[in-house]
Amino acid sequence: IFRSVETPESVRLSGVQAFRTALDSAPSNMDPVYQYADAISDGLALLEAVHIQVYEKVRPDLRFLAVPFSHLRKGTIKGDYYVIPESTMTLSTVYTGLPYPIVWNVRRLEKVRVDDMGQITMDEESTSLLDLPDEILCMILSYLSFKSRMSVHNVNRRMRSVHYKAKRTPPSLLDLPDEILSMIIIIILLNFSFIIFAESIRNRPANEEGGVEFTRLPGNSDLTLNLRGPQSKTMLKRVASLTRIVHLAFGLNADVSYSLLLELYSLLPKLTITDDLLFFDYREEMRVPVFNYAPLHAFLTENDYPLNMVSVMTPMEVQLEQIHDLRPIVQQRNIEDFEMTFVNAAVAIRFITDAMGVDPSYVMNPREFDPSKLRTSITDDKIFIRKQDDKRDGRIYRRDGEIVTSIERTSNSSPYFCIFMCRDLNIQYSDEIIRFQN
Amino acid sequence: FLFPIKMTSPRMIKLTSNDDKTFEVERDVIKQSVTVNTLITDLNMDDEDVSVENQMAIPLPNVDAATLEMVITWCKQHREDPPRNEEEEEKKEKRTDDIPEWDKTFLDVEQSVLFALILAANYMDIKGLLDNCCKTVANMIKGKTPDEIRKHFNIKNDFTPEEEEQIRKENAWCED
Repeated sequence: IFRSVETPESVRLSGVQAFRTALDSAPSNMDPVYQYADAISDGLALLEAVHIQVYEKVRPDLRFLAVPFSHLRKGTIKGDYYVIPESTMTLSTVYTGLPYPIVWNVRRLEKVRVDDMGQITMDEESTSLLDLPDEILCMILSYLSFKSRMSVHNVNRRMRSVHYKAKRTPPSLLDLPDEILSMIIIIILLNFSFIIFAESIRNRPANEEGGVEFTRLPGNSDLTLNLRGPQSKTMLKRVASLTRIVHLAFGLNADVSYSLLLELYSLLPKLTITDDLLFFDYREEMRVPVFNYAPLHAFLTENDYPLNMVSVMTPMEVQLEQIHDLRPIVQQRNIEDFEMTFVNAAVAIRFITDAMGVDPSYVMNPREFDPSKLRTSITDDKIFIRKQDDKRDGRIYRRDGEIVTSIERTSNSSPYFCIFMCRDLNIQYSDEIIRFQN
Repeated sequence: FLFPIKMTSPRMIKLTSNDDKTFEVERDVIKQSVTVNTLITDLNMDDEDVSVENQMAIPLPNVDAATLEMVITWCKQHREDPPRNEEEEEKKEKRTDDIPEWDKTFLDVEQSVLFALILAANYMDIKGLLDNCCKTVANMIKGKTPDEIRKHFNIKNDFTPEEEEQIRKENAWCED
């Protein structure tokens, strides 16, 4: 019945001592640690509590436990340590008065040992979490909330890189060339605020095959692509503008045809339901800001969305011309069509960071999503301000308080704001900004 | 007239683990493994004329006997499951509270066993098992701090002090 158990040549007293010392410094909520003592009848193994003093006084019934032998790891020898997570003990924890040992229905035992530092650690038999390939770790991460993913992110380097990988590469996109992947993501990012592409519902040709494509955006907002309605000409122009901007802004050489663009759009529903596109890192060295819009804002807030991106939220009505400070930069970049709307503004904000020599590794503070607590960030010489209750328009300030430029708010329904956090800069808060605003 | 009725026993497939233990498993059970299923098809092993004794065993060099036994047990339990529609599965909300009770108990094993099972499910391409294993690990991670995760999974913290400081700052965003 029993597995063969090696007889140790000597009881590892030094091990026991080390274990008790380790236990003394272990947190009080640690699960009880037991030592395999002997094989007894009926396929049971006798375990004895290592920290006997505790049990002698308080729970003598817990000093010895009998557990099914099959629960011990193969090759267990006398003196090996096991942790029994209390949650897995199913016998009542009330002292029953039964003769020792009480047989516990323990579902799980975890083998532990004392490491070189005197700490109690899990004694892994073979495979550990870190032995799992990246794609499986990514899968596991996909089941975690933002908060848990951030915990994993901070566990060690491997987990951090896996987390980045999980964010960057949706499985459905793994086979796509980098350039196209970049393009899709950028287009999607830009597109969140590019609802101007959408034909109004009444203009959608009914029952016309291939005439309308619907894609779901977060926040219950539908994006429609319809190049046959009355607005098709305008929309085609905007598609062309967008394509050009994307090329200019991100230095892509790939020529994207409308049909490909539409194909890319058709991928939207798949993409928008993943986390990944919201976190896209364009190449290793450049993090693309997420340009966004209220529905996405809501989506992000509801889903605890991420730290490491910048979110620039503006209404599409904002005109680039009004950001006059950007004009030279835009001209320098050879953007000819100065009439393009929001997307230009969004891309232009990226240009600002270039012009300022700011590393575009933005960090968005999730707390900034709470309108009541929204504060402002300062870069070396510019401040991007958004305050929910501030009826004035957003302004870009110099550190000395002079207004560099302002962005007019043209729509009450979609107030814009810019959150512009720079990880590598000394970001200051509150007092100074409040002074500016007053 | 009475005609003799040919009693057909379920078709069996032989699988060999990397420690040379051979298991006989019903064809219908192991069809959940895409890897094995493909091999059976590619090697024309569905040919009814070959008895199980004469049948070539399918080697599974990445799976040990103990794990393979567990995989087979899982497959037996799930043999009646409807075939998965991967497209549908992808669209489904990612949740971890939908692991069937039987699987929960089955997967309540030592970490190393669970990880071996994950690797086997991945290698044998058994999506249902892999999903439930991943969900189980996700449940182990949920609600834990980085330090608790390290402890639980025995992971060494290899961040430099500078990186630690950076992490501390990042976390301060959320906590202050």
